[in-house]
Formats: sequence, structure tokens, C-alpha cells
Amino acid sequence: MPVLRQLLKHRALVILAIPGIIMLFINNYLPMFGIFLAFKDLNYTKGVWGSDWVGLQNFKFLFASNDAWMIIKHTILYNAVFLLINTVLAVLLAILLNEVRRKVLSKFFQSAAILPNFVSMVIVGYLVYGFLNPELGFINKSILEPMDKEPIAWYAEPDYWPYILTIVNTWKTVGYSAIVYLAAIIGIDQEYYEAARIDGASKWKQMTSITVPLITPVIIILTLLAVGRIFNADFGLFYQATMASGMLKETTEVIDTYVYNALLVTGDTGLASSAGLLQSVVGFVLVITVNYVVKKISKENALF
Amino acid sequence: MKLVKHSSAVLMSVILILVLALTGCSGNNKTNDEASHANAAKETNASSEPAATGGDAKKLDPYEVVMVYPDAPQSDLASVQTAMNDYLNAAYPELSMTVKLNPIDWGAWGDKTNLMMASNEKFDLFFTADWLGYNQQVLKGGLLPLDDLLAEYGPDIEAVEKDFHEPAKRGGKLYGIHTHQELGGSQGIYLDKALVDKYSMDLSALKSGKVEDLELLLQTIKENEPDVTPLVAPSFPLDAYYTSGTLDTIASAAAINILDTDPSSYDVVNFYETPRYKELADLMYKWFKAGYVNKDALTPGLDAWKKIQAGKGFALVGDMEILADMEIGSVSKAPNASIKAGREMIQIPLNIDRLQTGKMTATMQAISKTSKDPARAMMLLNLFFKDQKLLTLFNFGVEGKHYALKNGQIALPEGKTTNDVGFYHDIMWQIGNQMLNYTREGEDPNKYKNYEKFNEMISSRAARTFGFIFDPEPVKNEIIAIDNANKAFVDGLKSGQLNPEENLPKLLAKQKAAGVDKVIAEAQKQIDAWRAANGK
Repeated sequence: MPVLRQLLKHRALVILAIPGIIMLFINNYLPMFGIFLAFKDLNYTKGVWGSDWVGLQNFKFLFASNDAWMIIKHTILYNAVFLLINTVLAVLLAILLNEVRRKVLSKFFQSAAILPNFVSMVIVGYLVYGFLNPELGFINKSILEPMDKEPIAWYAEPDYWPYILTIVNTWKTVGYSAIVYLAAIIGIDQEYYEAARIDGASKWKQMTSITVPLITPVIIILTLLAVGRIFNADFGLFYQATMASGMLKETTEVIDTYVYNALLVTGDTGLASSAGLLQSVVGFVLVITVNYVVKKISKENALF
Repeated sequence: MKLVKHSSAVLMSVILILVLALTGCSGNNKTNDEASHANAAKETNASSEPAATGGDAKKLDPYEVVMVYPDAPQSDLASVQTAMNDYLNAAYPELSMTVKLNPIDWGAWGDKTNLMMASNEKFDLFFTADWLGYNQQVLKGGLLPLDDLLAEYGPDIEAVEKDFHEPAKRGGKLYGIHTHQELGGSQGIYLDKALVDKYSMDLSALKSGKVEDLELLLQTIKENEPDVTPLVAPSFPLDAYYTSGTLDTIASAAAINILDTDPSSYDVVNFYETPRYKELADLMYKWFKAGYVNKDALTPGLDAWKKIQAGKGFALVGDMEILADMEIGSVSKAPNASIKAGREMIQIPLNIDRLQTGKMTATMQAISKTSKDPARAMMLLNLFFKDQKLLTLFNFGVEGKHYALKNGQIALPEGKTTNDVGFYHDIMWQIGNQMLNYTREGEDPNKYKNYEKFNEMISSRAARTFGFIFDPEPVKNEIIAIDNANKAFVDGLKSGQLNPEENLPKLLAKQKAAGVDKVIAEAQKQIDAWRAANGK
């Protein structure tokens, strides 16, 4: 039994891993049994087991609106743009952070970069509102007014929002990813760079030929994880940052906000479960597909 | 060596990701844990044995009635609860009952109550309303039918509410008990009296009951008071003023137009397609363009009264206070609004409600399926319909600590403000017989007499559809889709930010695609069946 022998041999590591595995099981595996609620008409009196099966009835509402494709399109496009911009900027930021040699400064920049990640979306919503308030906001009052330009009713004009949301999302998430990449960069052996410098490679050359290739596996892991969630929009961003303004729906409605609003109307748990299940299934399929593609291109970089 | 370094970099980042993800999860976990501990604590507090529901003479087993209702957090809740229990123990020892107050903050109400029902948490009295998911709660089996309990333990409820149960019945059974209070409302405008006097405004034009006639006044303010917003929103004519004055609403976009139509007409039409809707949307668009309305009207949580308080607003469209001799166009001082605004406000009603099915289900108390002793819950509810002391404790707190009686009215204790008194809320409308309540200092001492009179007026003017209950199940998905279509336009139209010429047709087209015709047809079908059954 090679597996058992392996386990025995590394028993210290196994023991270390057990709390994490239990946690993972409780948090991520146990709730999966709730999946079948998506196919039930939950009735509190009859209970979880006794409620009637309704087949795919609960999924219908997702497509009841003829906006269904618009909503799905928004979700995927926003996430794709966020993913692309985030990855590029985060890697860049990580490389720059790595170049900061003074310890105090380096720590300061790292903390500053990750800080927005800890700000609640509700607060972010109001920060954005501080800029965009139609009467007193910074942009209308301090930028457009002195320039003698008409103030813009930001919360009534859907066209600006793809840009606004992208900026807000980048501001909020890029620092976090950058720290992860930074950890990978720090792990790169300094000998590579020494050798490169001796050969007269420029900073740019060092970056493109050493840093980026060596952190590619990390980039792929993070990207794969993000692709798995491409069907799940950041609810806080799309709900709070837009102040839930209905007039912006044309460009800001995503699956999560649609489901939330539908639940406000009906309060039906079956509908929520069906939406969650659909998102997970699509995410799962996407992860498998992307991993397959990665494997075709370069085998050692694939996740599994 | 190099290989090791490389893979260790990968490993390190994976660990970092996992650690961060796990800490995120454990954060959630903690709150879950706390919640379940709290639940467990509640379970152990509650007596386990349901009491015998037989004769009154027999001493009942002690039982704790858990009351769940929406309210802002009150720092002195515990002392009020103790006072209520002391009082119950002294006044009704034979009921051997205690209460546990379990208010839930408004913002969390929907999530928490859904969860409590889904997880079979034990609670007894429960505030509910059609706008808080009453239909869904009945449908999901979260509430108990109350007919028998009411007949046996609710004599004081029946004394005042007997005629108003029909609208809360679902499938022939009653699931909610309406708070005894005003049977309708009135919509109109509030004006800052100082400004009315300053420009000696003529208010007689408003006797027409048309909000359009406000325009001249708004214009005066706009021209002479650059710092004052003429009409402070959120307060839109296209809310209750339009609905109540124009329609008998049924569900979603289905309604019956009662303005200038034959009183015997039961033709179901689209809420957004009436001529009046267009008129009011045009009006708001015009006012918005002219700068009569504040531009940030749609910001969530914006309190229009704060602007009036700061002297930055002049008029406000909203629900009127019920005063003596309510009449369209009559100008009177508005006592509550004056307190709220910190300056003298006058009110002018432009519309008075008719008796509507929906109003009867807008404020109700229900009993949860998870109640261990529904009879006792009904007994407590009945007390709220007869015992002024208990009502006062619940609504105003402990005398001397949270309020003082001044000439038979409720006043704040010396040196206290609403913010630091520890227990201050206005949720009289949530439970019991409101007519038994004290009035607050500054209010008309005859407030509840006025209510009784107002109720007579409302009762005499029943809506065409009074008593009809729409069953939304056959068109559930269409209603969601219509609501979704509305979101993009309705707020913009009612606040005047969107041009109705352009956007109203867009809205109607979206609604059509969402299946509005099916909803209207379904409503017509159910209305016709109801008429046939009730001989209307």
C-alpha cells in the first residue's frame, strides 16, 4: 500500500493538514447537500425532506425576463475585463513593489496597496457617491463646474458605468492580487538575476525573461480560480457602488443583482438555490475547460 | 535547488491564497456560530412543554412568548422587557406568561425572518404584512391558521376587528390579525409655514385636489429663495397620491382605473398606461427640468425631512396626518410634521383613500408555525387589544425612565432627547388596538377620536375591489420579469429624471415582452370569478 506508507511517512504533515481538511469539509462540502433544494418547492411545514419536487420549475424565473441574455452577457464581460486588467496591473504592481529596496517603504506600499481590499463595499459605495453625487459630488462640483461644463446625472446615465465599475473594482482588488504575486516573486532565486546582470540584461529584459515566466504558474492558478467564478458577479460592487439605481440597469445588471431583486419580490429560497447551482455548474465546466486548454498548451502549468 | 525554489514559490502562493480564503470563511463562521448559540439560548429559555389549552381556572404552565417585530435597536430593551414581565405577572398571574422581545433591525428583517422560518426557530408572535412577504409566508407554511384560536382567545380583538378579517384570509383561513388603527390614509402636501406667510401665498387653488396646482408656489420659491429646494424629494406624486387617487390596484401592473370610469366597471388595465400616469410623469419631468426638485432624490436613505429641518426645503408630497375634519384642500397645522421638521408645517390633503383590501393586510400580527403554545400567543395578542398599560410599556417604555405623562400625553423625561432616552420608537401601528394608546406631547389629544371619525369616512367609501385577493402563483415568473422591467424606468419617471415621451413607451414595450398582458388577463379572470361568486 504505497499510499498508506506515504501517509505514514509524512504523518507530521498529515496531522498538520487535518484541521484544514475538516474546515474545508464543513465549509465547502457539507453545504453541497443543499443543492437539491433547487429542485424543490420548499415548504416550512413539510420541511426540507417532505417538500414537493418541482423539477426545473425554479430555474424558469432566471429566463422569465427577456433580459436574461443581457444579464449573463454583463456578468461574463465584466468579469473577463476585471480579470484581464487585474492580472496585468497586479503583476506590474508586484514587480514594482519588489523593486522597492527600503524595508520601511516597502512595507508601507504593501499595506497601502492591500488596504482597499478591506474596505466594506457599502463604504466604497459612499466613497463613489462622494465623487458622483449629482449636486455636491467632487466631479460635478469641483471639476465640471469650474470648467463651465453641464453637471452629469451620474446615477441616471448608464453609459459611464462600465468604466466607473472597472475603476472601482481595480482599485479595490488589485492590491490583494499584487501581494500574492509578490510572494511568488520573492521566492525566485536571486542567482537568476545576478547571472542576468552579469550578462548585461536590462531591468525590462529581466522582467520579461525571468520574473514573468517564473510566476506564470501562479498567474495561471489565480486565473483559473477567477474563471471558475466568472458567472458570479461581485454583488457588493454592482449593488452598492451603483447605489442600486434602477436607471443604470442597462449596463450594470448582473446575475447576482437580478436574483437578489427577484427574491425581494418573491422571497423564495428555491429560486436562490437554483441560481446558485447554475452559477456553480457553469463555473465548474469553465474551470475544467480552461485547465484542459492550459494542459494542451503547456503541460506543466496546468492545475491538475 | 532551483527547482525547489520555483515550486516552493508556487506552494507558498497557494498557501497564502488558502489562508486568506479560510480566514474569510472563518469570519462568516463566527457570526453563524454566534447566531446558533443565541438560538440555542433561546430554545433553553423557552419552556418545553406546551400548556394545556383547556379551562381558564386551571393554572397554566409558565410559557415565554417570543415577539418578533421590526424596529431600530433600543439600548434599554432589556429593562422594558423586565417591566412588561413584572406587569404581566402582577396583572394576569393566571396566564403565567412572560414575553421575550426580539426586535430585528429593519435592514436585516427580510433575511433574518426568512432564515428563522426556514430553520424552524421557535418564536410566537410575528409582525407581517403583504409588503413583507405575507403571501409567501402563508404559502411556505410558516404561519398558523388563526380562526379557531381567535374565536376562543381573542374576544377583544373581535370587538374591534371583526369586520376586517376577510382580506387577510388565504384559502379561506385567516393567518394574520390586522392592527386596529386608521383604515386608510390621505396624501397631500406639507408646506413650510414661514415661507407661505412670507410670500402670502394663496392656497385656495389646491382645493382642486390636483398636485399640478402646486406649481405656482414652487415657482415663487424658485425665483425668490435660491437656497431652498422648492419640492423636496423623495416624495413623488407618482407614489401613493397617484395610486390611491386613480386606481384600485390588484397586483404587479394590474389595476382598475377608477378615475372617470363607470363605477360598475371592472376592466383591468395596466397601472402605467392610464392617462393620469402620463400626466404626472410629464409634470415631474417639467418640474425636474425647471429645478423645482432636488437632483439627488433617488439616493437610498435620503431623508427629505432633514432638508426641511435645515431650512433648505419648502414643500413635500406625502402621507398626511389624520386630523379632525379631513377634507381635500383644507389647510391645517400638522403637529407631528412640525415636530419632525423643527419648524411650523402646514398640510393640505389632496386625496383621501378608499377602503382597500391591501390596507387591511399592511400591518398584521401572525403566529409562527414554530410556536410551542399558539393559544398563549393569541392570549397575549388579545391583551394588546385591551390593556392600555401593556401597550404603553411596549410602545413608550417605562414611566419616569423613558417617558413622563404631561397632561395625559407622553413626553420625554426632563433633560432627555429621543437619542439618549434609551427607548423611543413609533411602532404603535404594528400591534394591538392603537386607539388605546396615549398621544405624544404636541399631538392633537383627540388624535384617536379623529381616527375613529376618519375610519367612518373611509369605511363608507369601499374600493370596487374591496375583499378581492389576487393569487399570484399562476403568473409568478411574469411578475418577477415585470418588476425587473420596471426597475429601469419607474424611479426615473417618478422623480422626473427621465423624459416620459421617450421612456414611457420603452417601459410599456419592456413590460409587454415580460408578459404584462398575461398578468392582466389573469387578474381579469380572477376578478370576474370573484364578482360572480360575490354577486358584484
